[in-house]
Amino acid sequence: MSLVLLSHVCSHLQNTTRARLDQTSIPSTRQLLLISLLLQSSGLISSVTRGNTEGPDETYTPTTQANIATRRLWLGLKYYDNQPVMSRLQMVSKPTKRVFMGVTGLKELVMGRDTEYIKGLGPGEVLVMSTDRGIMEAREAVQRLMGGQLLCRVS
Amino acid sequence: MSAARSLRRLLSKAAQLTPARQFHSTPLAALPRNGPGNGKKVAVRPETRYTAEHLEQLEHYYTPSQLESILAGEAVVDPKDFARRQPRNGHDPYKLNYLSDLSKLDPILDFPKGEFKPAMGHPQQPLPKIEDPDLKFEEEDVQGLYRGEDLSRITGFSQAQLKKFTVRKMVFHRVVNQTRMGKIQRFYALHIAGNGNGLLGIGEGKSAEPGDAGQIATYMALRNLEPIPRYEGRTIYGNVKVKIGAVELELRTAPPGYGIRASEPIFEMCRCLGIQDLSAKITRSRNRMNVIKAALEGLRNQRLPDTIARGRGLKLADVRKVYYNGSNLGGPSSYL
Repeated sequence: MSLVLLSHVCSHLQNTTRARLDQTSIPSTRQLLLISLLLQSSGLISSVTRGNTEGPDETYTPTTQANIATRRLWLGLKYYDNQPVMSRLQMVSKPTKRVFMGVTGLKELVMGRDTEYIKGLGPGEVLVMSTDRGIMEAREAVQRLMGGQLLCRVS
Repeated sequence: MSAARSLRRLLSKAAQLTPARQFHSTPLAALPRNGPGNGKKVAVRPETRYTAEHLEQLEHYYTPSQLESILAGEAVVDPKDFARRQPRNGHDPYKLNYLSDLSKLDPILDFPKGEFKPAMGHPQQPLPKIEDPDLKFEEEDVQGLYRGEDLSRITGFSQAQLKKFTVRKMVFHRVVNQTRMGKIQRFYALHIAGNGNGLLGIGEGKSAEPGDAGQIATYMALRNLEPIPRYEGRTIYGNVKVKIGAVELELRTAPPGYGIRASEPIFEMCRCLGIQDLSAKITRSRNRMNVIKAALEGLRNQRLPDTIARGRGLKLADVRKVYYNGSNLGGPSSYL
């Protein structure tokens, strides 16, 4: 799957939190929806709403051939103590260089140790992964003894 | 009242209690207290029974069956004891570990037996003050303009405590301003101070006299003491990157026994602060003054797990602290 879109979203979210925006929209794709939901369950963003280029949907609107070009995902951003809760989003895999890692490497990474040229996770850092069982956080992948592709790290 | 006190003594005629001297300036009733008396005032029960008015109020809070059991329970308690009870503040550091009514003087226990003998070696009266302005006590004389008294008042530490703090001279140099009158030279000093247990401050001093610059710097360093969060009282929370001027540096957290692997100014700061495990790398400029300022900025701006958890609405538990029952692990609050 292309990582270009995700890269753009990472940069966009960094820009929006720095600009102290209340909410923002990202392209509506399945991968981005799953990642947004993961970020929401980690408490990094406040809401994930389907919508179009105008704004979030007031009522349920199915995606059709006619409106698919205007569909967007709207994310509610969080701030605490005058600081953005989510301030740093960086790609680990890049469109030109995918990074995969097995459980042994992931365990080290999750414990905060540098592994295979990748910096260990800091306190509260979330590493988003793509695995056989869908998109999940690195810590969950270690729990399930699964490896996969490292997508991006968020803190 | 102590549990060890015998019932006979308690009931004796001699045990008529007299009110003790108050050491508070506010009357006793005005003092806030926790416990059952806090918030709404609990009416001291009259010797016989609650009035109908009281009962009506109580019915508002309790079910009839609860009220009945309360009244039955209180009927057992001696009215004298009931009137004497006093709620105590739960966080009172001077609380006794047994129950005693200290607002009353006990005629038997609270009066010394025999004659009072003064302990040897301690004067009973303060020394008379010397009025002669030329004669001064040592402390006042030595400290000059920046006396310990002022510092003590500002920082809240006693002078004896302040003297024990570590002060290090970090930067000292001459600064020259070229004017049409010629070169005007002054001296610049930067000192750091810390208590070795979570407090750190830096101070700068400038003066025409080198000695004065140092004195001002020490004074300011002690004045600027601030608490720095430390993980387990030995290292920092996560890695921090800072940039001040052309100085860019990274402070990295380290496991126990790692030691301080950092350049000398940062090493000294860690010693003053009481950090044992830390590594640091300075990239770009290594200007001493800016390195110190940047390192302090980094130490100050750590992202604490508590803050992260609150921002995300998550609950946080330190597994190591829970497992080892917090032994020997100084938390972020133990900086004094």
